[in-house]
Formats: sequence, C-alpha cells, structure tokens
Amino acid sequence: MLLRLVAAECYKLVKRPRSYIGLAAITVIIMVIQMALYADGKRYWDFLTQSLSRSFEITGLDFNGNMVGFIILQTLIIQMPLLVALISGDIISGEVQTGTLRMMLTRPVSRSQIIAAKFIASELYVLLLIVWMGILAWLGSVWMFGSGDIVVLKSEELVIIRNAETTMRFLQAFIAAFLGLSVINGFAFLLSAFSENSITPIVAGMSTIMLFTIIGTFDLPIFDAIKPWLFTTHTVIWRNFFDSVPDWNFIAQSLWVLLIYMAFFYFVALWRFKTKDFTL
Amino acid sequence: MAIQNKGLYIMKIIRLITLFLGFNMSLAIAQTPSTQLYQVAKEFGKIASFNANVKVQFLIPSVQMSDLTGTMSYAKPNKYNIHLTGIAFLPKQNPFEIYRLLADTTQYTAIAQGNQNIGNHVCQLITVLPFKQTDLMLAKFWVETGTHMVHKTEVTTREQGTVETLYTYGAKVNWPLPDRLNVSVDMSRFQVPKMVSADINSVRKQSLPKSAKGKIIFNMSNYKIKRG
Repeated sequence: MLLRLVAAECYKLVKRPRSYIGLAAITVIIMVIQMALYADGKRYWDFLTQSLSRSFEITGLDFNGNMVGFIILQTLIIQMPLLVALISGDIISGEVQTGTLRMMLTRPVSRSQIIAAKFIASELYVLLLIVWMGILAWLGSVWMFGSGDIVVLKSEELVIIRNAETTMRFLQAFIAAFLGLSVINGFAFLLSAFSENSITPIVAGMSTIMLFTIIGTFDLPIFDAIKPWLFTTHTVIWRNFFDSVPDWNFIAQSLWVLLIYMAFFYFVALWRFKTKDFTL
Repeated sequence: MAIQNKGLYIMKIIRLITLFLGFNMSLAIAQTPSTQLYQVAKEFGKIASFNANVKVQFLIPSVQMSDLTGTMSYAKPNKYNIHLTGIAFLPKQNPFEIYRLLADTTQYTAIAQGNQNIGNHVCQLITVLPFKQTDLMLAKFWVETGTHMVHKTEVTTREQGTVETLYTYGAKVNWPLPDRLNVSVDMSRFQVPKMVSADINSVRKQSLPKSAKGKIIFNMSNYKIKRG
C-alpha cells in the first residue's frame, strides 16, 4: 500500500510544474558556470592565487572537470536548500489549501502511511536533484574539461586533492550532500505539516535557511555557541570530504547530527499530522 | 772549477723548484673567494646534462598537498626542467642557475666571511655582490673547503626576497649533484574572503603570521649524467 501511495505522490510531483523549477535552475546555473569558467577560468585562478604565485611557480593549475565540478557543487549547495524548500514546503500544506488532503483521508489508509509516502516522495525528489547535479556538474565537466587535481579553496588555505582520489571524494560528498539536503527537506516538510497554505512554509523555510547560513558565515564570538546547534552547520559537511585528510570523527558526528535532525523533523511532522483536525 | 760550477748550477735549480712549489702551495692555502667560487662553477661545468627521478615534498603554510614524483633534467648552459603530473608549487629560480653566474668572476665581487659548519661539513661562507644592477642583490654560499661542494646558498633578489637552499649529497658525491635539495622561500599567507571561498562554517585562525617560509624538498635518485 505504501508503495502505491509513494507512486501516487511521485505522480503528483511529476505533474506539478513547480517540480521542474529546481531541475531547470540547476541546469541553467551549471551551464552558465561551465561556460564562464571555460572562457575565463584561468583569470579567475590567477586572481585567487596571486599571493602565492608571487613566491612560487605554480604548475599544472589548468582548469579541469573535477575542479569545475567542485566549484559548481560549492556554489549550488548554498542555493539548493531553497529549491528543496520550494517543493517540500508545499507537499502537505498545498493539499490542505486545495482540499485534496481531506479527500485522501477518507480512503482506507493510515495517516502514518500518507505522511511516510509524502516524505519518501520528497526524498526521491531530493535524490533526483543531487543525481542530476552530479551528472551535469561533475561528469559533464569532466567530459568537457578532462580530469585532473582539484584545488579546494578555503578562506585561509588551499587544499589540493590528487586526481586519483577525486572519484571517491565526489561520491562520498554526494552522499553527504544528499543527507544534508534531506534535513532541509525534513525541515520544510515539518513547516508544511503546521501550515494550511503553501506560501508560509516555503518562505519560512527559506528565511530560516538564509538566517542560519548568514550566522554561519560570521566569525563573531556571540555566534560560536549557537553554530553547532544549527542544522546548516552540518548540512555542508560534504565539503569536509575534500579536506587533505578528512576528519572522520568530525564527519561521523555531523552525519549523526543530520540523521537525528531528520528523524526529529519527521516525527514531529508525523505527530502534527496525526493529531491535526482537517475537518475544520 | 768545473765541478764547483756544476754544483752551483744544481743548487740554483733546487732553489728554483723549491720557490715554485712554495709559491704554488701558498696559492693553494690562501685561495681567494673568487677562485674558490670559480672552482665550484668549474666542477659543475663538467656536467653537460643530467636526468634524475625526483620526489617533491611541499611544506607550504596554507597549502595542503601530497608529494609528487616525476623527473628532473638539466642541460648546459641553462636548460632546466621538472616534469611532474599534477599541480605543483616550485621555486621560481632554477637551482642550477647560480653556477652559471659564478663561472664569470668579472661580474661580481666575492667576500670571505669565515668558516661555519653546515651539518658535519666545515664550510667557508662567501658573500657575492654583483657589480651590475640586476634582479640579484646578494648571494651567500657555504662552500666546503677542499671539495668545492656547495652545502647551502642564500640568494636575495628584488622580486622574490630571500631563497635559502640546503644541499645534501649522497651517492653521487663525485659530482656536485645533491640527493636532496631543501628550498625555503619567503611567502605571504594565503587568504581570501569567506564568501569567495564558500567556506561557510570555518573558524578564522587569529594567530597566524602574515608572512612565512614555504619549503619545497626535492629528493633526487637515479642520476644519469653526461660529462661535458
């Protein structure tokens, strides 16, 4: 029964034009970045590494697909939560607003099954976004530019990942990015369970993500105590797979935090959905 | 009378030979810094070309990267190449360029500044000041007395500041080719704004100095040398 419900939810997602906004946005952003780097990538690197190239002869620093894939990934990963919130924020509240949920609840399926089906469908959508991004941003860039070492730009250092290691790092990063976006999905899903219109959870979800991300970027001591508790601190853990030597303890800790957040958001949404009176 | 003259003649020859040997010995003992550096260049000049395998280690503050292996080649007078697969940070100067400079003793003045130990080797410190206004401002050489092997150099240029190189010799001790070159370069610390790097959650390290020394270590093996 659950599988049929999931299929029905997926069908609804496919039929909604809004679902394609994310895919279209990812496609356009990736293509624009690829074209820009293809045309002007050398100048971009020269600018970023000018302080080091004063002291050293930097050889082999040609743009390659792995490097472009990484740049796209780190650019898009900031925007992707917004695309996820756009879909997940609407998945319950949208149907409450249109009244289709009431009709659904008259059928012989439990509320737990309905909410599970909706959550699984939204997770499949997140997976589709990640896979699409992986195909276009990484494999597409490798096809266009060829493969090579990655330069990971950090605020105070450069990390160079050798070509032989890049495939494993990308695959691990994509899995971590999926988990990170799943938490965003869970958060928007939770807001959707509490709302009766589409706009409120989408806007609230996007605003929260933006606020948390902004707090994360500031190096103010007042935020230091808050940062570990923000889920956005952990949703970017995929980047740590591109450290010179990944800190596996830190990564495992962050992945656990993400799983706990996801479970928390899901079960609160489930509780809300089960106890909510939809007849009013 | 003839015998007495012959004796005097032999005595004169012996005196001349003694004088000649004495003069040469005094020259050998009190070799000028310029001639010593010339000898260094001359020893290196015996090499027409060489190829070697090289493993390069990068100890650069604010750059994290693994070692690279490749090949190093040199050919007279100044053809130098390192072939590595991947991104590498290398010194801007050709490490063998300095021998070419030393060969022409009319281009610089050399000042001996006493002996110093570099590892287990007793070396004479010689400072070189070029006559002409070039990129090179000052160079210091620690040359092992007797073997004419350079164990350390400090080259100060207008463009790149001071580059310090330590030479460690091993198997090819008959040639002035090191098994290990340890090059230290003055550098400024790498820094970009957080939003440019998209490094959102990193914590800025407050105590890092603005300038530092970057080290590049070349470990050479399997030299193939052509005499020239």
